Amino acid sequence: MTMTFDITSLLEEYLDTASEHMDAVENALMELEHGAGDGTAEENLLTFILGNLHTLKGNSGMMGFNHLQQFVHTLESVLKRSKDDLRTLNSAFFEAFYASLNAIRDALKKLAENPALSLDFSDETMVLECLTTKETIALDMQQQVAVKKEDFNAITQKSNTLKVNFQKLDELMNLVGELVIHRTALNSLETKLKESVKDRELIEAFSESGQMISKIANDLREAIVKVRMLPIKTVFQRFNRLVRDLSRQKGKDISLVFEGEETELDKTVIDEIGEPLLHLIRNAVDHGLEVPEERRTLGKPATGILKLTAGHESNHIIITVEDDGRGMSVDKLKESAVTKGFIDQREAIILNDQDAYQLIFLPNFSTSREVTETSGRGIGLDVVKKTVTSFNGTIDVDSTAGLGTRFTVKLPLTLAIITALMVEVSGEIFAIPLSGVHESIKIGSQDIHEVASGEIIRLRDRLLPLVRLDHYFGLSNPTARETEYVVIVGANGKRGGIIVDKLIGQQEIVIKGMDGYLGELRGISGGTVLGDGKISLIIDISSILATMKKGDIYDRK
Amino acid sequence: MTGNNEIALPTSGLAEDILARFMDSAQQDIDRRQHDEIRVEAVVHHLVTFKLGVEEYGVEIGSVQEIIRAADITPVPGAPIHIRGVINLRGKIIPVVDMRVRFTLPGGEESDQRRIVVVEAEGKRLGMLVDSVSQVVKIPAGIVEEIPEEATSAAENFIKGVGKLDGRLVIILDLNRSLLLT
Repeated sequence: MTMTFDITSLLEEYLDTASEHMDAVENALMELEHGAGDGTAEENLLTFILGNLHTLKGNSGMMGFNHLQQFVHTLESVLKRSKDDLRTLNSAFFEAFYASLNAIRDALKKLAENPALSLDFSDETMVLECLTTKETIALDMQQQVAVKKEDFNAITQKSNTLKVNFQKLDELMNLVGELVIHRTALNSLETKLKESVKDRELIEAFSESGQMISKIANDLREAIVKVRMLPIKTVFQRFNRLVRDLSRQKGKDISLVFEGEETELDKTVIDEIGEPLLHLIRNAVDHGLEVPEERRTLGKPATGILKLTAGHESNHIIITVEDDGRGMSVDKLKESAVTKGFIDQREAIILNDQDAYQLIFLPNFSTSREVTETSGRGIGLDVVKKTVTSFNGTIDVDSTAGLGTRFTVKLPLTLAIITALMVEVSGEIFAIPLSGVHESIKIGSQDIHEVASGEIIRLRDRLLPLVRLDHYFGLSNPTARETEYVVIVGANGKRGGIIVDKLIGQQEIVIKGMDGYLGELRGISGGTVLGDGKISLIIDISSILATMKKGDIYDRK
Repeated sequence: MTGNNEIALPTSGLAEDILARFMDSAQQDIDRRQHDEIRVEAVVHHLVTFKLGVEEYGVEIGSVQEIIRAADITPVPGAPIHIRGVINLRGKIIPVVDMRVRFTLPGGEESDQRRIVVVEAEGKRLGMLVDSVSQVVKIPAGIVEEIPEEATSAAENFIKGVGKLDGRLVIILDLNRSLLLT
């Protein structure tokens, strides 16, 4: 038997589900044995058993366990016969069936130890075959498959996995979030104690305990974050079939390649990432990759490569969708944008490449001449960007005409906890997700220049628009100061500076959604509870950048 | 009643029959009276009352989750005008409605009497910022004047009824409409 690496990695999953199917079959079988009499109930049970066996058969075949697959098939045919003729549900049938189930369990156990093992089901197969031919012989054979003690090993079998409702994990995560918050509260308490209590030893003992709690809370959080992790493989694999079907439909020859599919992501990310990836892949198959003839004339291999990769980068997950298709030409994009009235000639000239690529994320923007069923007219890419942004993530495009396109999606490790830069504005504390912060600087007010569209600064030869957060949020009157603190942020290829009153520092925060009752909140993506129990609002960088004047082209219709 | 019975006694017919009918009607009478008593008992309004300015308001106790001190309300820029901000209630972020603003009363003064009444309505948990919380009262339905929906002006349609209690008036709120949840 040939074993590839991929199959071994699936073994555990296979064994788990197989064991579940076996339990289901066994329970249904017992019900069948006890509740003989009413015809329809039995038929339902038989159908249920058949369904489970069928899945088991399919899975076994996929894993390459041909012997097991064959045996389950035999079992299936016996059952099908019984379904047609309920009279065959006699004691011989049940005995033989239980014995068969034990044999399967036994086989599964052996496969767990050595997947390459060749299995022998000849005895059990014979008994089953006898059932279908002559009952009398079957009854004789019944003695042969007498109860062996080992047959019930399945009862005492220990499982290493446990299925847990995700909501329970979420609750756990919430509680840990609370713990982290109160841990911070403990720190400030300690500082206060130091001022008023004279007993040195007591203070030391207190801070020691505090530190231990900090450490344990951290470990606990990390452990729970790990429990929530799933390999992105589960998402990637869904695309195999899609790409196969799509490429046939389009007469294209595409090979889908995965890289880093073992990368683990928080379940909340796994759940949400499917849709944006789907759009990107459809886009690549539809618009990016050429048909084989075209590729040949271009001197490319006839088979196009569509590559999905995943990996970690510091505190982020990077997922890329890359094709070696026709790529995008910046000039064509600009031309199209001008024709459709998204930008004017002058803007097109000054637009840099990165910004030009971002044009494709505009609603109703597409360079494709043909309207296709799968990706329509560029519908989808704006959705992709919206989804990614809503996770505090970013999406970037890199493309070379004739060589291909690469979309890079950058997401936080978990959607629940992020690192943020805490700032103070008009007496309120706000959190700016660190993923979007480039740097923070202190500048003299003379470096801020007033232009028609608002305030700007020059930072290393680049002009950046500025937003005063107090003004943006309509908080207390903006006061002009000698020096200003500016947080340079970026998202989706745009950059800008946010003026704040004070920089407080970095902190890990637990993101909490804002109630829909509050309505659409401009510039705010959520809230978090601080160490002292107060709430701090989380800044939505991309929505603030979108209102900045320079590079405001995206909002223009 | 016995007198009635005597008058109704016919000259002919079985006395037992008549007696049975009389007992039946008497039983029905008792049943009805008991029933009425139960009904009155059931529609007692159990209210948490609070003050806004000079008026006293009440909300059904069933929808009140808890009452907390009004502290650390974080303002939310861009939220509707009647929302004072958000608070942290054991790790959950809950919007707080300034009831004075909602009922277009002049702004009240900061005082340590101010409370947030946390209510649950329409599956949402919201806080109501009030001047002070008075007490929990029972007002029998009989002395509550229900205000018919069509009779109320748009500005007053958050009122469900007005109850009398020891000579005071308590305005019973319709939570959904008071909090603009409909």
